[in-house]
Amino acid sequence: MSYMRRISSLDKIYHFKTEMEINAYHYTAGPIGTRWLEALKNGELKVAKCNKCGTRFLPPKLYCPKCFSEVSELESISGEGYIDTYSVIYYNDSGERMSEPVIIALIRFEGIYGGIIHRVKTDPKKIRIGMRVKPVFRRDKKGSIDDIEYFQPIE
Amino acid sequence: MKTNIHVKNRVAIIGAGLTLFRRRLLETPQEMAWIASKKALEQAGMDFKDIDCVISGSAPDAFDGVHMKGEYYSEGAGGFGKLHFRVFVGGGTGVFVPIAGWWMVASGLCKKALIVAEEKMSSAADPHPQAVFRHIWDPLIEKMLGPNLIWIFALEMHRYMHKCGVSKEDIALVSVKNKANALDHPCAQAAAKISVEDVLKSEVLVYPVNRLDISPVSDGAAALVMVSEDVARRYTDNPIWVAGIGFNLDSYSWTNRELAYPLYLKKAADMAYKMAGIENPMKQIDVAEPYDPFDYKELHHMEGLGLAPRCKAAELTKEGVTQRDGDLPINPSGGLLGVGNPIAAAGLMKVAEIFWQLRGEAGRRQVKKPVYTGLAQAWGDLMQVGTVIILRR
Ligand SMILES: [Zn+2]
Repeated sequence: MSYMRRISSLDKIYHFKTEMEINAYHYTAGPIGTRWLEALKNGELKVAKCNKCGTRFLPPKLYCPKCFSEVSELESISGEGYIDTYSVIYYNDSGERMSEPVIIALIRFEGIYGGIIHRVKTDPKKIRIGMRVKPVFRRDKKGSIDDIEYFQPIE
Repeated sequence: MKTNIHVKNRVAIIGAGLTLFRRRLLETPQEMAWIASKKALEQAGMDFKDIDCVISGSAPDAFDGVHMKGEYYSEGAGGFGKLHFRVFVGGGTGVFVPIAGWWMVASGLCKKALIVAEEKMSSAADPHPQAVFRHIWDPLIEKMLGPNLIWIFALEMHRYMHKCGVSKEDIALVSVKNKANALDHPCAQAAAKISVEDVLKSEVLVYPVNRLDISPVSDGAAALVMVSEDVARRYTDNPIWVAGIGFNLDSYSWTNRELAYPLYLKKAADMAYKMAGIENPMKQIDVAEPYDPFDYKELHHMEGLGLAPRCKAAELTKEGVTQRDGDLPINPSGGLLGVGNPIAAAGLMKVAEIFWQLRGEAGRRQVKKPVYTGLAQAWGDLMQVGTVIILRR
């Protein structure tokens, strides 16, 4: 079929090039998220708490993920959690081998609904599911999830 | 009244809720969806756990900046562990969501549906959210001109003015009316007491469009509870019935349409009128919320809906017919021009307004005459889809 020719080079056909992205997005954190980020800035990992059904959960939101009541409270936790599952990243998005592998893990906390996904820093040979971890905060904190540089195993 | 359709379950609306409409809300899209849903459920006397399906709608992902945002924000509406889908027909979405809710409940696939629309346009920070619309144009022929949405409106508005002999002053009356109506709306973002002169003296952005001819960019969410007849009877003595739905798509090519008349809407309205057994909309529709992102669009859409003879909507407006105390109140909420334009949520706000008007619950916005049948309408996709819903008490 003559109208389904394979194109080997864009130089040989008429085409129009453009970009289709918004350059910058501003994501607001919401009223509970704002206070949660402020706690991170102070070096503290907190959880949201529903006063109706008692659920303590992460990530924090204005509504309870279990009973959908309004949530207005944050509560401190020790910060010690455990690895629910993990993955080791050896190649980056461009397909290049990274100088050092990065471990990404789903981290849960005893008695807390949900959890967070974050980096874990340890030897990929030693990491295992169920391993206990705690957050390591950066010195220069901005009020972002990245204020936690990584989680590290608890010896 | 003759109708052309048999449904398994008659569908009623029993609750509606809105967030504030603002240029920027602190709440996340999920939290906005939750607030609107909670309010609608409260009015219905229900809780999230009572709902068996969540039907949502939102405009392009590029506003919120979350791809597949329906699956994202719908968590706040309790949209997990249940039947959920998102519909999307651009600016027409707000009225298309309850249309989709109607077919779910009417068919018997679910009985208690939460209908939610959300838009967080403020996330798109640089360039202005309007830039998202740059990509709705034909990529080969039109896009390289660097068009924006106001261009489309300007070309259409000018054609309508020319064909119908309508002046800028006539059109400005719509903006004056809607912004004043919105003074009574607790969620309104752009309510104001302005004059025709104010509109004419505001900056000419793209001739013939002045700044005050246009609705603002907004964050906001809206929700409805739609249920089957047996459920409605258990929860309320005052259900509002969905009497008709309609939707239709015109050609993508602006060049292939007569811009002075919205054929996409005429066809969508005919579908809804047939279902509702309406033969003379000017007599049988008591109150309406046509889509008014720009002031001329209210007139244009009144004509497409058959709520005014062709080219006569401006005259009715001048005579005061479309005021809240007029014979055919149009956009008593304040519309997009007054309440704000968080795209999908703005369309659903219109359906909520008709629901409250028919229940007699619109407070200071309540129209003067008794109302039994009302209509809400939106317009969108690539500016060629019409969506219509007719409600009856
Ligand atoms: Zn709870």
